[in-house]
Amino acid sequence: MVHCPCRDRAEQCIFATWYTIFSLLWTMAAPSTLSASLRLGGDAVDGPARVQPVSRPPEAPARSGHRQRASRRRRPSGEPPPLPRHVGKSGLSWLAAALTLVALSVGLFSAGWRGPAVAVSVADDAVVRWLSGISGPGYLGVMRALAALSSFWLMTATLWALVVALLLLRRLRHLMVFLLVWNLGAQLYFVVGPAAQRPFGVPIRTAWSGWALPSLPIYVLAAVVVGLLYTLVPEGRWRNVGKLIGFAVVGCSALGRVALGADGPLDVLVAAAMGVTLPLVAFRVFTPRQAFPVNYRRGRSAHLDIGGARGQAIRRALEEQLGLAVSDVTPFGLAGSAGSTPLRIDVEGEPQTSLFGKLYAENHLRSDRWYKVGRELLYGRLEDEKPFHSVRRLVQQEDYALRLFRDSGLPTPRPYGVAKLTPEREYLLVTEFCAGAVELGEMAEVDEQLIDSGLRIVRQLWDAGLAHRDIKPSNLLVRDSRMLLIDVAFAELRPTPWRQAVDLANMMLCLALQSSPKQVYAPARQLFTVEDIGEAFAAARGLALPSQLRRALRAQGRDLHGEFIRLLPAPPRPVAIQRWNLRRVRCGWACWSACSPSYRAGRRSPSPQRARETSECTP
Amino acid sequence: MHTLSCRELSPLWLTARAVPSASLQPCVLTLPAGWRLTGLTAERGRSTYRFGNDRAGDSSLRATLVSGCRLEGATEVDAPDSRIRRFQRVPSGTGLETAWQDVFPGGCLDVRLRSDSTDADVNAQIAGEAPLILGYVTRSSLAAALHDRSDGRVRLDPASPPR
Repeated sequence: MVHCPCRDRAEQCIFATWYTIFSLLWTMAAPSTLSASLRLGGDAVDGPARVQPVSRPPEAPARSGHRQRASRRRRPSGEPPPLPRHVGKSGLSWLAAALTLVALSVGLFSAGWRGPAVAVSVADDAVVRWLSGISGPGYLGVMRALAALSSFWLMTATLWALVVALLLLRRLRHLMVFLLVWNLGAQLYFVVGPAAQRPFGVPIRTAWSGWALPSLPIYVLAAVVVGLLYTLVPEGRWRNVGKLIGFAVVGCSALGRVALGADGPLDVLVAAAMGVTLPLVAFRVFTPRQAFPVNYRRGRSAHLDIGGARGQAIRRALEEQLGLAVSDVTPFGLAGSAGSTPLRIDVEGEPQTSLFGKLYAENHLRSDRWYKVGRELLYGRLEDEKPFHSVRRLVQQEDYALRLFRDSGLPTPRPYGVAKLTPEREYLLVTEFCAGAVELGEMAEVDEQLIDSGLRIVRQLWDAGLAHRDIKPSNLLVRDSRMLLIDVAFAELRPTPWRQAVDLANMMLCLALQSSPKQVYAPARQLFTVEDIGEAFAAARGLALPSQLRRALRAQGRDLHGEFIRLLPAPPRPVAIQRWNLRRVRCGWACWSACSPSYRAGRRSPSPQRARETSECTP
Repeated sequence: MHTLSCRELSPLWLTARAVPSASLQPCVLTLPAGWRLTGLTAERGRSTYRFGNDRAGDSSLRATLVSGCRLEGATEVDAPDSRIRRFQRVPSGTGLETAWQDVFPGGCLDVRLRSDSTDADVNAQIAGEAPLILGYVTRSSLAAALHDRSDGRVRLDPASPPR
């Protein structure tokens, strides 16, 4: 237990401490990158796309006369989006019930124990006296056992078990929401809790503390039950069964406490309503099942379920917003994607055409933020690593980059637009499906034409003042001995010369993986000067190489970087990639101090200064 | 915020439930200037009252009502109320730090007084004011008030002794 000076606000201190620790854990957990690689099969449906150079861009499906065309429709103000945020009917019902009960009890007891409050207490006490007066063998023991379901020790143990389980499962968003609710619930308890008396005229045979309304143990038990259900139990049959069990547990414990004289019926009723409603609404709003499903299937958490409501929303959004009549939407190339949910979208028409979709949601945005924080902590800011602050901007950037690349004559998939599923939360980027293309890394060898094609891409990038920033084998597709550049999410306009140089080195290394440095160096000299190539290999070190490229180099056991250096007339002087700034120093210091043994052991609470510094590192 | 005045019944009814055997319930007779009630806790078996003083600290006076207390090492002194017996403990340490227990049928109020101040005049004043703060109301008067307030529909204590 963390010792906190603010004794009456212990929950706040606990929350602040946890938040700091979780932030750091999250940072160090090496979250998935945003790069979504597109692994494209060779047996795909023929599409109208042409490979580089793209002199005649393919027709947009909606504009093609061969395809079924759906009319675009503007969503009127007030109409819900395809995949609206909602707390559900049951959530609204609970919210209404809780608000009513809280308002009623505050209204009754705010003037003290007189008037209607006395009448309610009399009725409550009658029930308590009746239950308390029942005698029979084992009755008291059973009631004590039922009341013990909401005992302080059991609740504390369950709460910690839940926290540990969520940490182990890396459901950090669920954990944060739960702790937030916990903190908020504690504040709410003290704010709305009126001065209601314990039942009169009966002995109180179990532990109690303070005013009776709402019953604190039942309030905590209900919140913990909902927390368990919405963070650990998958939606569907198991959660429905869990709800029944939870209802029974809370009901039985409430019965026990009433029978033992600690609480009245109104106390446990208001407590249960508050305890259920607060976490229920919070989980449904902040961890909606569509975006943050609870499941135990293997797979990357970045990939969203595209069935059910989301599947229907995708179809509706594509039809209304992009005019595409969709016949099927299936996950595609999930293995190569960590930062989005890649989809293959089959569009109705003769012949049937496929498009490629990248579904972005809040969890992808979060991954991007933490990835950038991690990069800054490890290496400093290499360049513009400002995180995006909304899913819309993330998608907007990629759509813009795709259009910019095509305008500059670069061979990239044609963008077809963006569909909005949930405002600021879920967007679908639609591009051309590169049918018949294979990844460069999957090719046995590359020929001169392909090498030239790849090098020309970098030359075009340089001439257009662009940098791709993620050139690696899985982002280079090959079709008809031509190279296609995909996944331009990281692209940058007017990048630093260092970044442009790194793009060149990465391209040369990718090409050399399937050939040899000599085969790549010679044609490179036709497009770049010796100084350009020297600068590229001076800059491309360590983190500057995408992790997939680094792995491929290690797997081959060849020092391609060194071989390229040896081909140069003189070895270049390495360019330092570590960048230091005050923010990085502060974040590093905060991390180090937060991870020190005394901090981890929770022997002291973080100082406001430290908490502020750590929070600066969080996105 | 309740003042725990001897005329404010709601908190007294609650604290009365904490120690059902106590025939008297502590309440605030008067709060001299500079004193304030900083905390009140009622739970099964005990109720605790905390008072702060602007010169002596936030927890200068702490009184805990329980059903009984040990009196070893304490000396009986004159009590200001005929319904109680007061036992004083010898002050220890530097500065003001003293304790006494008020014993009455079914209950005991353990009172501890301490001061963060090193000023002898302040401590003397604190020591003089603290015993004036707490007084007592009888359980029977609380029960009668509850009976009146509810028109006879509610009793403070169960009809038969708790099992």
